[in-house]
Amino acid sequence: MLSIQKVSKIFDSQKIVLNNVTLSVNPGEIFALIGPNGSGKTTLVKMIAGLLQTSSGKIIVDSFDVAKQAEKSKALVGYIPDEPSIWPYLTGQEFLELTGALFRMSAHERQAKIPKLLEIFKLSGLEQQFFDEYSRGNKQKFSILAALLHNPKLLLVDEPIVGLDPGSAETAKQQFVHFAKRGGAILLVTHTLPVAQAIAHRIGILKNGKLIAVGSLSELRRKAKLSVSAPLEAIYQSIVR
Amino acid sequence: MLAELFVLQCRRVGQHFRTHTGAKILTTMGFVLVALLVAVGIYQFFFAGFRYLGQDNNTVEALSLYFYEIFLLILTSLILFSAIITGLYSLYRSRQNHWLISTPSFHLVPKLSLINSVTSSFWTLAIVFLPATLAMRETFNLSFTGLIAVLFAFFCYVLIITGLALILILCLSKTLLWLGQRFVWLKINFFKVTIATLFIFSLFLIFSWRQSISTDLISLFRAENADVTIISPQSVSQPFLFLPSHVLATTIFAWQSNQIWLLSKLIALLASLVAVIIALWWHWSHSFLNVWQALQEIGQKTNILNRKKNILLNIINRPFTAILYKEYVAVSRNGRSVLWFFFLILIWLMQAIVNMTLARSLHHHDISPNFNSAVAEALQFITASYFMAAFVLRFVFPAYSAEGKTVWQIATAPVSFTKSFLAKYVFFSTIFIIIGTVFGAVALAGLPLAFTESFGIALCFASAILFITALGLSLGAIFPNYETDDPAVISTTMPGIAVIIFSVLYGAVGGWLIYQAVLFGLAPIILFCLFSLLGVISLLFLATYLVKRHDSGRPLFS
Repeated sequence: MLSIQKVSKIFDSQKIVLNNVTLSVNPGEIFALIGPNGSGKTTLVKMIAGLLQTSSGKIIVDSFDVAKQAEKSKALVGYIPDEPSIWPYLTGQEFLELTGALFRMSAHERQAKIPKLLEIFKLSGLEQQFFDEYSRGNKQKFSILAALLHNPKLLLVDEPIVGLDPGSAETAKQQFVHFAKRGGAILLVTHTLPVAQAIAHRIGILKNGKLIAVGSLSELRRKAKLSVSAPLEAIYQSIVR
Repeated sequence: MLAELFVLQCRRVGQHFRTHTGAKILTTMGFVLVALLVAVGIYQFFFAGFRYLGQDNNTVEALSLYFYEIFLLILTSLILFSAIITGLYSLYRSRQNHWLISTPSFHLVPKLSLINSVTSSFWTLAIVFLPATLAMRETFNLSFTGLIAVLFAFFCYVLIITGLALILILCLSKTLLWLGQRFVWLKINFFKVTIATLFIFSLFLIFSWRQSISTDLISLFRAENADVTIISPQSVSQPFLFLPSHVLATTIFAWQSNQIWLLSKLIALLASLVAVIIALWWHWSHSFLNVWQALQEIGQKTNILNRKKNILLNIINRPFTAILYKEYVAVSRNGRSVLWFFFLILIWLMQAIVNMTLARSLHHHDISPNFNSAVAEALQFITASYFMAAFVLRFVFPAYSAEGKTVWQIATAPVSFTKSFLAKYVFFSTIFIIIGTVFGAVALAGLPLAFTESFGIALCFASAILFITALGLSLGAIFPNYETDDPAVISTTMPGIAVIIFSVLYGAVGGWLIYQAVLFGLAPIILFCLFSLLGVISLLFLATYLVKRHDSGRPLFS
């Protein structure tokens, strides 16, 4: 579903943020990308979402080159940004409706799907409020729903549960698992290692722009030479150190 | 504490110049240059005007006083409206106030708001009032001490008007808070405070308008008769007696007519009023907290909107219409933008009213104006171009930069940059075509024009609107500024200055061509329209071509 081939990103001709990164995410798979601050995780996600260009390398989403067939590749992607910055003068309902329209959903399709989505986080009744009236958690919930609205094949999730209460965080995790079970692919960027450990099929560790380790939890444990019960936290500390 | 905050503010200015120093110094110099050019233009305008007034000793005093009354009344309306907008937002909506409100020094917020509103009104002193008084001094050979006294009087006047605006806002807020505690449906919110303040401002405008049009210039100055008698300044100032600008107009008149004692008395009066206003404001600033707290409560705007279903959303099925809707929402629901929009409309309206009043007066006395209509049409076009440039700079130029962190919503959707760019262009140019058509029709209504001339000039207005909008949107997209989402700050960049300079030059060229067309035939107008449309296409193409190739960590469209 997602293929990242030797991708590098250099800012202002000197600052190397990503260096020759290659990875892939298959349909039905949740791939968690973890790493220290400034390691290039969000930059990579932004390049897949089409917010930034690559300096070199290629990104393919379901056979579409992100650089050359942007409209086709974007139509398959749902993006949940690290910060739920949303047009402040829209209501929650309008935000979802406009997102649907931007992804070419008809009014009929949107009106059928939005009430069901609102039920996921029990947001029904709040959808007519303006965005600047929502708490950070509710803004995050709306941005998760917006990403799911057009039935994407690939979900790019950057810090999904920051600001969510424990119940909503659990709901969000369940949604991601259901999405993958239905055949969708997820690239999950997070610092919340227990979430990555709980739902990811494979985990990649990025440090200084380089992918220094990739594998399932048990593969990473072996690489880090840790016991079979070692949590991701310990694996991460061991590999990144 | 005020001193510490002042030092902090100065440090912020220093910090602003720490990055991209050269570019920022150049931008500042560019702005100073533009301001200087405008000031020189205003000086020349007033100098010529005062020299004309001074030609007839019988009418010079009365005509000058009438001019001061009208000029200061317009300036007062602008300062008052500007102070109301700045006051409302700096008192109740500035996020920077939150930390100050949480400290025991919360009462500094209204004090800082007064300082902020006064300083933001000083552009009128530097760009309009100073050149006007310098021109006056040069024409009537007046004393330098008097000039300083009049400038001091103006400073006091700005402080009084700004202080009154803030006092009005606070009084209305307190009244609404009191009423809201007794009647639930009157519960205070920012919208109600804004509407109440604007209602009082409208009453002031209506009263001023009625007073100023009650003067029949032709009768007063007996222009039909060759036998002109000396007109007393008192009869001229009679309708303006109850307007706040009258004190300042009389002060300037006292300087002109060398009445030192009267000048001193009026300055003492203005200074005393300043002291009273400041004392009142300083005293009330402690009781500001409960109003501020009440206005921070959320969940009020939803009630204003109060709708279950938005019909417009049902017809949005494509990205293009979705972006049109988003632009409509971004402009119409941003209270501050709406108020500035009406502020610009107000200035334009005043210019149109002055035109109409003069035309009405001439028409009423059946005097056929023997003036050069080519010059009048060219001037109307230049004025319209200038207003359009102001609208574009405030609303269109920041359209991309103001997206800021929210840019991902369109940028991650399967929508090409070209499509999103064109949607914005269609949205803004449609609004401006409507406004421009209304004001263009009003501006040309008083001129004796043939149908072909009117049609030609209407085409010029439309071309100018399309061109200036394309210029602002293109430069705003090519040079986005993601350091802030405040349109006022975004506009004060080098590309922003370029928009103003190019628009003014374009307006001047257009004005000259219209002048030529009225004298020698419509060919220059057709040429102008064709070149404008070619310019629009080139700008739109250039912007879409260049933005696709941007990337230095900035958001990028497909």
